[in-house]
Amino acid sequence: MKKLLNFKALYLGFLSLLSVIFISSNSVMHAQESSLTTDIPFSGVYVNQEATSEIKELYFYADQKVVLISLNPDYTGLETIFPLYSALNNPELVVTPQKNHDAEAEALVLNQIMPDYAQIYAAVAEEITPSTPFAEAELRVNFKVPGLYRLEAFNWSTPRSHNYILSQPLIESQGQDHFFNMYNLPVLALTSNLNDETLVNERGQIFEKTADTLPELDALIDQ
Amino acid sequence: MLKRIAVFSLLLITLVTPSTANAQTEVGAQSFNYDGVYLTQENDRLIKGFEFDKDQELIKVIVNHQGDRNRERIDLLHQLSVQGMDLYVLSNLNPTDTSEKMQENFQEFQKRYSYDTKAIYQEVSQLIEPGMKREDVTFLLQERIPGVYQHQDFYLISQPYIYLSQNLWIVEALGTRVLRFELSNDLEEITDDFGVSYLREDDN
Repeated sequence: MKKLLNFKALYLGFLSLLSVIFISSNSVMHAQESSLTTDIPFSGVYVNQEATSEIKELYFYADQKVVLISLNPDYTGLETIFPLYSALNNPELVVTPQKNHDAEAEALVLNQIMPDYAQIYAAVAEEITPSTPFAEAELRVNFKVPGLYRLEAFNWSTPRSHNYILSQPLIESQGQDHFFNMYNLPVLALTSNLNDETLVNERGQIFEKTADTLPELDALIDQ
Repeated sequence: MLKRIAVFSLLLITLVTPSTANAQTEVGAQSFNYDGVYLTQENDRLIKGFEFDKDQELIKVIVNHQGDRNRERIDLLHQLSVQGMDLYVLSNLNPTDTSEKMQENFQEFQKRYSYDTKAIYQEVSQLIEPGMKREDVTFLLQERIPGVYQHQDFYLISQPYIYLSQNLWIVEALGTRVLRFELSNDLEEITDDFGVSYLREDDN
Protein backbone atom coordinates (compact mmCIF):
# COMPACT_ATOMS: atom_id res chain seq x y z
CA MET A 1 0.00 0.00 0.00
CA LYS A 2 2.75 2.37 0.96
CA LYS A 3 4.54 1.58 -2.28
CA LEU A 4 1.35 2.24 -4.23
CA LEU A 5 0.90 5.60 -2.55
CA ASN A 6 4.51 6.50 -3.30
CA PHE A 7 4.02 5.55 -6.92
CA LYS A 8 0.85 7.67 -7.15
CA ALA A 9 2.64 10.64 -5.58
CA LEU A 10 5.50 10.21 -7.99
CA TYR A 11 3.12 9.90 -10.91
CA LEU A 12 1.12 12.98 -9.90
CA GLY A 13 4.30 14.91 -9.35
CA PHE A 14 5.48 13.94 -12.79
CA LEU A 15 2.17 15.05 -14.36
CA SER A 16 2.37 18.35 -12.49
CA LEU A 17 5.87 18.90 -13.77
CA LEU A 18 4.75 18.20 -17.34
CA SER A 19 1.86 20.66 -16.94
CA VAL A 20 4.16 23.38 -15.67
CA ILE A 21 6.52 22.83 -18.57
CA PHE A 22 3.66 22.89 -21.08
CA ILE A 23 2.07 26.04 -19.67
CA SER A 24 5.41 27.81 -19.46
CA SER A 25 6.34 27.00 -23.04
CA ASN A 26 2.96 28.26 -24.27
CA SER A 27 3.47 31.49 -22.38
CA VAL A 28 6.87 31.92 -23.94
CA MET A 29 5.44 31.23 -27.39
CA HIS A 30 2.72 33.82 -26.94
CA ALA A 31 5.23 36.33 -25.66
CA GLN A 32 7.40 35.80 -28.74
CA GLU A 33 4.49 35.61 -31.16
CA SER A 34 5.43 37.76 -34.11
CA SER A 35 3.22 40.11 -36.06
CA LEU A 36 3.55 40.63 -39.79
CA THR A 37 2.72 44.11 -40.97
CA THR A 38 3.46 46.75 -43.56
CA ASP A 39 3.58 49.46 -40.88
CA ILE A 40 7.10 50.69 -40.26
CA PRO A 41 7.66 50.86 -36.47
CA PHE A 42 10.02 53.85 -36.52
CA SER A 43 10.31 57.17 -38.28
CA GLY A 44 13.18 59.55 -38.86
CA VAL A 45 16.85 59.46 -39.70
CA TYR A 46 19.24 57.07 -37.94
CA VAL A 47 22.98 57.39 -38.41
CA ASN A 48 25.79 54.92 -37.79
CA GLN A 49 29.02 56.73 -36.96
CA GLU A 50 31.29 53.71 -37.37
CA ALA A 51 33.70 54.21 -40.26
CA THR A 52 33.79 50.51 -41.11
CA SER A 53 30.08 49.78 -41.30
CA GLU A 54 28.28 48.95 -44.53
CA ILE A 55 25.18 51.03 -43.83
CA LYS A 56 25.78 54.66 -42.94
CA GLU A 57 22.25 55.93 -42.62
CA LEU A 58 18.69 54.70 -42.44
CA TYR A 59 15.72 56.94 -43.07
CA PHE A 60 12.36 55.46 -42.15
CA TYR A 61 9.63 57.27 -44.02
CA ALA A 62 6.76 55.67 -42.15
CA ASP A 63 3.94 57.49 -43.95
CA GLN A 64 5.06 56.15 -47.31
CA LYS A 65 6.23 52.77 -45.94
CA VAL A 66 9.64 53.34 -47.44
CA VAL A 67 13.15 52.99 -46.01
CA LEU A 68 16.10 54.84 -47.51
CA ILE A 69 19.28 52.84 -47.01
CA SER A 70 22.38 54.93 -47.49
CA LEU A 71 25.59 52.96 -47.77
CA ASN A 72 29.05 53.90 -46.62
CA PRO A 73 31.07 54.58 -49.83
CA ASP A 74 34.30 53.67 -48.00
CA TYR A 75 33.09 50.25 -46.89
CA THR A 76 35.25 47.41 -48.19
CA GLY A 77 33.84 44.43 -46.33
CA LEU A 78 31.30 41.78 -47.26
CA GLU A 79 28.32 43.43 -48.90
CA THR A 80 24.77 42.48 -48.08
CA ILE A 81 22.60 45.17 -49.65
CA PHE A 82 23.90 45.06 -53.22
CA PRO A 83 23.54 41.26 -53.54
CA LEU A 84 19.99 41.58 -52.22
CA TYR A 85 19.32 44.34 -54.72
CA SER A 86 20.55 42.08 -57.51
CA ALA A 87 18.33 39.25 -56.34
CA LEU A 88 15.27 41.40 -55.73
CA ASN A 89 15.63 43.72 -58.70
CA ASN A 90 13.04 41.79 -60.60
CA PRO A 91 9.74 42.57 -58.91
CA GLU A 92 8.27 39.45 -60.44
CA LEU A 93 10.46 37.19 -58.35
CA VAL A 94 7.87 34.86 -56.92
CA VAL A 95 8.60 33.30 -53.59
CA THR A 96 6.25 30.77 -52.13
CA PRO A 97 4.81 32.16 -48.89
CA GLN A 98 5.86 30.18 -45.89
CA LYS A 99 3.23 27.72 -44.79
CA ASN A 100 3.31 28.76 -41.15
CA HIS A 101 1.94 32.20 -41.87
CA ASP A 102 -1.72 32.74 -41.29
CA ALA A 103 -4.11 33.65 -44.09
CA GLU A 104 -3.80 37.36 -43.44
CA ALA A 105 -0.01 37.20 -43.55
CA GLU A 106 -0.11 35.14 -46.73
CA ALA A 107 -2.35 37.73 -48.32
CA LEU A 108 0.16 40.42 -47.42
CA VAL A 109 3.00 38.49 -49.05
CA LEU A 110 0.96 37.75 -52.15
CA ASN A 111 0.00 41.40 -52.45
CA GLN A 112 3.65 42.24 -52.23
CA ILE A 113 4.45 39.88 -55.07
CA MET A 114 1.57 40.87 -57.36
CA PRO A 115 0.84 44.57 -56.95
CA ASP A 116 -2.02 46.21 -58.80
CA TYR A 117 0.00 48.06 -61.44
CA ALA A 118 -3.00 49.71 -63.06
CA GLN A 119 -3.96 51.30 -59.75
CA ILE A 120 -0.37 52.26 -58.94
CA TYR A 121 0.35 53.92 -62.27
CA ALA A 122 -3.01 55.73 -62.18
CA ALA A 123 -2.14 57.02 -58.71
CA VAL A 124 1.25 58.24 -59.93
CA ALA A 125 -0.43 59.93 -62.91
CA GLU A 126 -2.52 61.88 -60.40
CA GLU A 127 0.56 63.00 -58.48
CA ILE A 128 2.71 64.21 -61.37
CA THR A 129 2.54 67.13 -63.79
CA PRO A 130 3.12 67.29 -67.55
CA SER A 131 6.69 68.45 -66.95
CA THR A 132 7.64 65.85 -64.34
CA PRO A 133 10.84 64.11 -65.47
CA PHE A 134 10.49 60.46 -66.38
CA ALA A 135 13.02 59.47 -63.71
CA GLU A 136 11.00 61.17 -60.99
CA ALA A 137 7.76 59.58 -62.14
CA GLU A 138 9.41 56.16 -62.03
CA LEU A 139 10.72 56.87 -58.55
CA ARG A 140 7.16 57.53 -57.44
CA VAL A 141 6.18 54.18 -58.90
CA ASN A 142 9.05 52.55 -56.98
CA PHE A 143 7.69 54.01 -53.77
CA LYS A 144 4.46 52.12 -54.37
CA VAL A 145 5.73 48.83 -55.80
CA PRO A 146 7.36 46.52 -53.22
CA GLY A 147 11.03 46.04 -53.92
CA LEU A 148 14.60 47.11 -53.24
CA TYR A 149 15.66 49.79 -55.70
CA ARG A 150 18.78 51.75 -56.34
CA LEU A 151 18.09 55.44 -55.91
CA GLU A 152 19.77 57.19 -58.81
CA ALA A 153 20.86 60.75 -58.25
CA PHE A 154 18.78 63.16 -60.26
CA ASN A 155 18.10 66.82 -60.02
CA TRP A 156 18.99 67.01 -56.36
CA SER A 157 21.20 69.86 -55.31
CA THR A 158 23.52 67.38 -53.57
CA PRO A 159 23.55 64.17 -55.57
CA ARG A 160 23.63 61.10 -53.37
CA SER A 161 25.32 57.86 -54.26
CA HIS A 162 25.09 54.38 -52.80
CA ASN A 163 21.45 54.87 -51.92
CA TYR A 164 18.76 52.25 -52.00
CA ILE A 165 15.06 52.41 -51.40
CA LEU A 166 13.36 49.53 -49.61
CA SER A 167 9.78 50.03 -50.63
CA GLN A 168 6.75 48.52 -48.94
CA PRO A 169 8.64 45.90 -46.92
CA LEU A 170 6.87 43.38 -44.74
CA ILE A 171 7.96 43.77 -41.15
CA GLU A 172 7.93 40.97 -38.63
CA SER A 173 8.25 42.23 -35.07
CA GLN A 174 9.01 40.19 -31.97
CA GLY A 175 9.06 42.59 -29.09
CA GLN A 176 11.87 45.02 -29.76
CA ASP A 177 13.26 42.94 -32.65
CA HIS A 178 12.11 43.96 -36.12
CA PHE A 179 12.79 42.07 -39.33
CA PHE A 180 12.29 43.88 -42.61
CA ASN A 181 11.56 41.39 -45.38
CA MET A 182 11.07 41.60 -49.10
CA TYR A 183 9.56 38.58 -50.83
CA ASN A 184 10.42 36.53 -47.75
CA LEU A 185 14.09 37.50 -47.95
CA PRO A 186 15.50 39.39 -44.94
CA VAL A 187 16.87 42.82 -45.75
CA LEU A 188 17.22 44.50 -42.36
CA ALA A 189 17.18 43.13 -38.82
CA LEU A 190 17.04 45.80 -36.12
CA THR A 191 16.55 45.87 -32.39
CA SER A 192 15.22 49.08 -30.97
CA ASN A 193 15.57 50.44 -27.49
CA LEU A 194 12.46 51.35 -25.53
CA ASN A 195 12.05 54.88 -26.89
CA ASP A 196 13.22 53.99 -30.44
CA GLU A 197 16.08 56.47 -30.25
CA THR A 198 18.65 53.77 -30.94
CA LEU A 199 18.66 50.80 -33.28
CA VAL A 200 21.13 47.94 -33.33
CA ASN A 201 21.56 45.67 -36.33
CA GLU A 202 22.53 42.01 -36.40
CA ARG A 203 26.21 42.98 -36.58
CA GLY A 204 25.92 44.92 -33.33
CA GLN A 205 26.26 48.26 -35.09
CA ILE A 206 24.43 51.13 -33.49
CA PHE A 207 22.25 53.64 -35.33
CA GLU A 208 21.26 56.73 -33.39
CA LYS A 209 18.36 58.92 -34.30
CA THR A 210 19.54 62.32 -35.48
CA ALA A 211 16.52 63.86 -37.18
CA ASP A 212 12.82 63.39 -37.71
CA THR A 213 12.87 64.03 -41.44
CA LEU A 214 15.11 64.06 -44.52
CA PRO A 215 13.98 67.27 -46.23
CA GLU A 216 15.18 66.53 -49.75
CA LEU A 217 13.39 63.17 -49.92
CA ASP A 218 10.30 64.57 -48.19
CA ALA A 219 10.13 67.42 -50.67
CA LEU A 220 10.23 64.98 -53.55
CA ILE A 221 7.52 62.71 -52.21
CA ASP A 222 5.24 65.45 -50.98
CA GLN A 223 5.20 67.44 -54.22
CA MET B 1 14.78 102.63 -109.86
CA LEU B 2 15.38 102.36 -106.16
CA LYS B 3 11.98 100.77 -105.79
CA ARG B 4 12.87 98.09 -108.38
CA ILE B 5 16.17 97.36 -106.61
CA ALA B 6 14.34 96.95 -103.31
CA VAL B 7 11.79 94.59 -104.76
CA PHE B 8 14.47 92.58 -106.58
CA SER B 9 16.56 92.36 -103.41
CA LEU B 10 13.60 91.22 -101.41
CA LEU B 11 12.82 88.56 -103.97
CA LEU B 12 16.42 87.40 -104.04
CA ILE B 13 16.55 87.11 -100.26
CA THR B 14 13.35 85.09 -100.22
CA LEU B 15 14.69 82.65 -102.78
CA VAL B 16 18.11 82.24 -101.15
CA THR B 17 17.02 81.89 -97.50
CA PRO B 18 16.29 78.24 -96.73
CA SER B 19 12.97 77.42 -95.16
CA THR B 20 13.07 76.61 -91.47
CA ALA B 21 10.96 73.52 -91.43
CA ASN B 22 10.03 71.74 -88.24
CA ALA B 23 11.07 68.22 -87.16
CA GLN B 24 11.82 66.49 -90.37
CA THR B 25 10.79 63.08 -91.50
CA GLU B 26 9.77 64.54 -94.81
CA VAL B 27 11.78 66.77 -97.06
CA GLY B 28 10.10 67.63 -100.31
CA ALA B 29 9.10 64.39 -102.01
CA GLN B 30 11.32 62.25 -99.74
CA SER B 31 9.90 60.54 -96.64
CA PHE B 32 11.53 58.19 -94.16
CA ASN B 33 9.07 55.45 -94.93
CA TYR B 34 10.99 52.44 -93.70
CA ASP B 35 8.81 50.05 -91.78
CA GLY B 36 9.51 46.51 -90.62
CA VAL B 37 12.62 44.47 -89.92
CA TYR B 38 15.86 44.88 -91.86
CA LEU B 39 18.77 42.48 -91.27
CA THR B 40 22.31 42.19 -92.53
CA GLN B 41 24.02 39.01 -93.70
CA GLU B 42 27.33 40.12 -92.18
CA ASN B 43 27.56 38.04 -89.02
CA ASP B 44 30.54 39.85 -87.53
CA ARG B 45 28.64 43.11 -87.03
CA LEU B 46 27.43 44.04 -83.56
CA ILE B 47 24.38 45.55 -85.20
CA LYS B 48 22.36 42.74 -86.67
CA GLY B 49 19.68 44.99 -88.06
CA PHE B 50 16.90 47.43 -87.44
CA GLU B 51 13.20 47.30 -86.83
CA PHE B 52 11.37 50.43 -87.90
CA ASP B 53 7.90 51.25 -86.62
CA LYS B 54 6.77 54.23 -88.62
CA ASP B 55 3.44 54.68 -86.85
CA GLN B 56 4.85 54.55 -83.33
CA GLU B 57 8.01 56.44 -84.30
CA LEU B 58 10.31 53.79 -82.91
CA ILE B 59 13.55 52.26 -84.11
CA LYS B 60 14.94 49.08 -82.58
CA VAL B 61 18.64 48.55 -83.12
CA ILE B 62 18.96 44.78 -83.01
CA VAL B 63 22.17 43.58 -81.41
CA ASN B 64 24.27 40.61 -82.47
CA HIS B 65 26.05 39.62 -79.26
CA GLN B 66 28.53 37.49 -81.21
CA GLY B 67 29.63 40.39 -83.41
CA ASP B 68 32.54 42.71 -82.78
CA ARG B 69 32.40 45.37 -85.51
CA ASN B 70 30.68 48.80 -85.21
CA ARG B 71 31.26 48.75 -81.47
CA GLU B 72 31.44 52.54 -81.31
CA ARG B 73 27.81 52.82 -82.38
CA ILE B 74 26.64 50.38 -79.73
CA ASP B 75 28.77 52.15 -77.14
CA LEU B 76 27.12 55.45 -78.06
CA LEU B 77 23.65 53.96 -77.72
CA HIS B 78 24.60 52.47 -74.38
CA GLN B 79 25.93 55.81 -73.17
CA LEU B 80 22.70 57.55 -74.16
CA SER B 81 20.58 54.85 -72.52
CA VAL B 82 22.45 55.31 -69.25
CA GLN B 83 22.44 59.08 -69.44
CA GLY B 84 18.74 59.39 -70.16
CA MET B 85 16.74 62.45 -71.08
CA ASP B 86 16.87 64.13 -67.67
CA LEU B 87 20.62 63.93 -67.19
CA TYR B 88 21.19 64.97 -70.81
CA VAL B 89 19.16 68.12 -70.19
CA LEU B 90 20.99 68.81 -66.94
CA SER B 91 24.38 68.30 -68.55
CA ASN B 92 23.85 70.10 -71.83
CA LEU B 93 20.99 72.50 -71.43
CA ASN B 94 20.14 74.87 -68.63
CA PRO B 95 16.52 76.04 -68.68
CA THR B 96 17.34 78.83 -66.22
CA ASP B 97 20.20 80.21 -68.33
CA THR B 98 18.76 83.33 -69.88
CA SER B 99 21.38 83.74 -72.59
CA GLU B 100 19.89 83.84 -76.06
CA LYS B 101 21.87 80.86 -77.36
CA MET B 102 21.00 78.63 -74.42
CA GLN B 103 17.33 79.57 -74.60
CA GLU B 104 17.33 78.87 -78.34
CA ASN B 105 18.99 75.47 -77.79
CA PHE B 106 16.58 74.57 -75.03
CA GLN B 107 13.51 75.57 -77.01
CA GLU B 108 14.71 73.66 -80.05
CA PHE B 109 15.31 70.60 -77.88
CA GLN B 110 11.86 70.91 -76.32
CA LYS B 111 10.23 71.27 -79.74
CA ARG B 112 11.80 68.00 -80.83
CA TYR B 113 11.68 65.98 -77.65
CA SER B 114 9.08 67.37 -75.28
CA TYR B 115 6.52 65.04 -73.80
CA ASP B 116 3.62 65.26 -71.38
CA THR B 117 4.50 62.89 -68.55
CA LYS B 118 1.11 63.12 -66.86
CA ALA B 119 -0.81 62.31 -70.03
CA ILE B 120 1.52 59.41 -70.83
CA TYR B 121 1.16 57.83 -67.40
CA GLN B 122 -2.61 58.26 -67.57
CA GLU B 123 -2.71 56.62 -70.98
CA VAL B 124 -0.44 53.76 -69.95
CA SER B 125 -2.34 53.09 -66.71
CA GLN B 126 -5.39 52.37 -68.84
CA LEU B 127 -3.46 49.98 -71.05
CA ILE B 128 -2.25 47.81 -68.19
CA GLU B 129 -3.80 44.35 -68.20
CA PRO B 130 -3.89 41.77 -65.40
CA GLY B 131 -0.77 39.65 -65.41
CA MET B 132 1.42 42.32 -66.96
CA LYS B 133 4.88 42.54 -65.50
CA ARG B 134 6.57 45.76 -64.45
CA GLU B 135 8.92 45.48 -67.42
CA ASP B 136 5.91 45.31 -69.78
CA VAL B 137 4.55 48.53 -68.34
CA THR B 138 7.98 50.15 -68.52
CA PHE B 139 8.15 49.28 -72.22
CA LEU B 140 4.80 50.98 -72.82
CA LEU B 141 6.25 54.12 -71.23
CA GLN B 142 9.50 53.91 -73.19
CA GLU B 143 7.57 53.75 -76.45
CA ARG B 144 6.10 57.15 -75.63
CA ILE B 145 8.95 59.01 -73.95
CA PRO B 146 11.82 60.16 -76.19
CA GLY B 147 15.08 58.49 -75.43
CA VAL B 148 17.30 55.47 -75.90
CA TYR B 149 16.53 52.38 -73.84
CA GLN B 150 18.65 49.28 -73.52
CA HIS B 151 17.03 45.87 -73.63
CA GLN B 152 18.62 42.47 -73.67
CA ASP B 153 18.76 42.06 -77.44
CA PHE B 154 18.15 45.55 -78.76
CA TYR B 155 18.28 49.26 -78.12
CA LEU B 156 15.01 51.10 -78.46
CA ILE B 157 15.24 54.59 -79.95
CA SER B 158 11.94 56.17 -79.05
CA GLN B 159 10.59 59.23 -80.82
CA PRO B 160 13.81 59.98 -82.74
CA TYR B 161 14.37 63.14 -84.70
CA ILE B 162 14.95 62.19 -88.34
CA TYR B 163 15.93 64.56 -91.13
CA LEU B 164 17.61 64.55 -94.49
CA SER B 165 21.04 66.03 -94.91
CA GLN B 166 23.18 65.71 -98.03
CA ASN B 167 21.43 62.56 -99.21
CA LEU B 168 21.71 60.90 -95.82
CA TRP B 169 18.90 60.25 -93.39
CA ILE B 170 20.13 61.41 -90.00
CA VAL B 171 18.62 59.82 -86.90
CA GLU B 172 19.09 61.81 -83.73
CA ALA B 173 18.25 60.80 -80.19
CA LEU B 174 18.60 63.20 -77.27
CA GLY B 175 20.19 65.74 -79.58
CA THR B 176 22.90 63.26 -80.60
CA ARG B 177 23.42 61.80 -84.05
CA VAL B 178 23.15 58.01 -83.62
CA LEU B 179 22.42 56.58 -87.07
CA ARG B 180 22.81 57.58 -90.70
CA PHE B 181 21.27 55.87 -93.71
CA GLU B 182 21.75 56.49 -97.39
CA LEU B 183 18.86 58.07 -99.21
CA SER B 184 17.15 55.51 -101.39
CA ASN B 185 13.71 55.03 -102.89
CA ASP B 186 14.02 51.29 -102.49
CA LEU B 187 12.25 50.33 -99.28
CA GLU B 188 13.46 46.72 -99.52
CA GLU B 189 17.01 47.61 -98.58
CA ILE B 190 18.64 50.20 -96.39
CA THR B 191 22.35 51.02 -96.20
CA ASP B 192 24.08 52.63 -93.24
CA ASP B 193 27.05 54.98 -93.37
CA PHE B 194 29.49 52.07 -92.95
CA GLY B 195 28.21 50.76 -96.27
CA VAL B 196 26.45 47.83 -94.61
CA SER B 197 23.24 46.78 -96.31
CA TYR B 198 20.21 45.51 -94.49
CA LEU B 199 17.50 43.68 -96.38
CA ARG B 200 13.86 43.80 -95.47
CA GLU B 201 12.50 40.64 -93.89
CA ASP B 202 9.14 39.39 -95.05
CA ASP B 203 6.30 39.75 -92.59
CA ASN B 204 5.35 36.33 -91.18
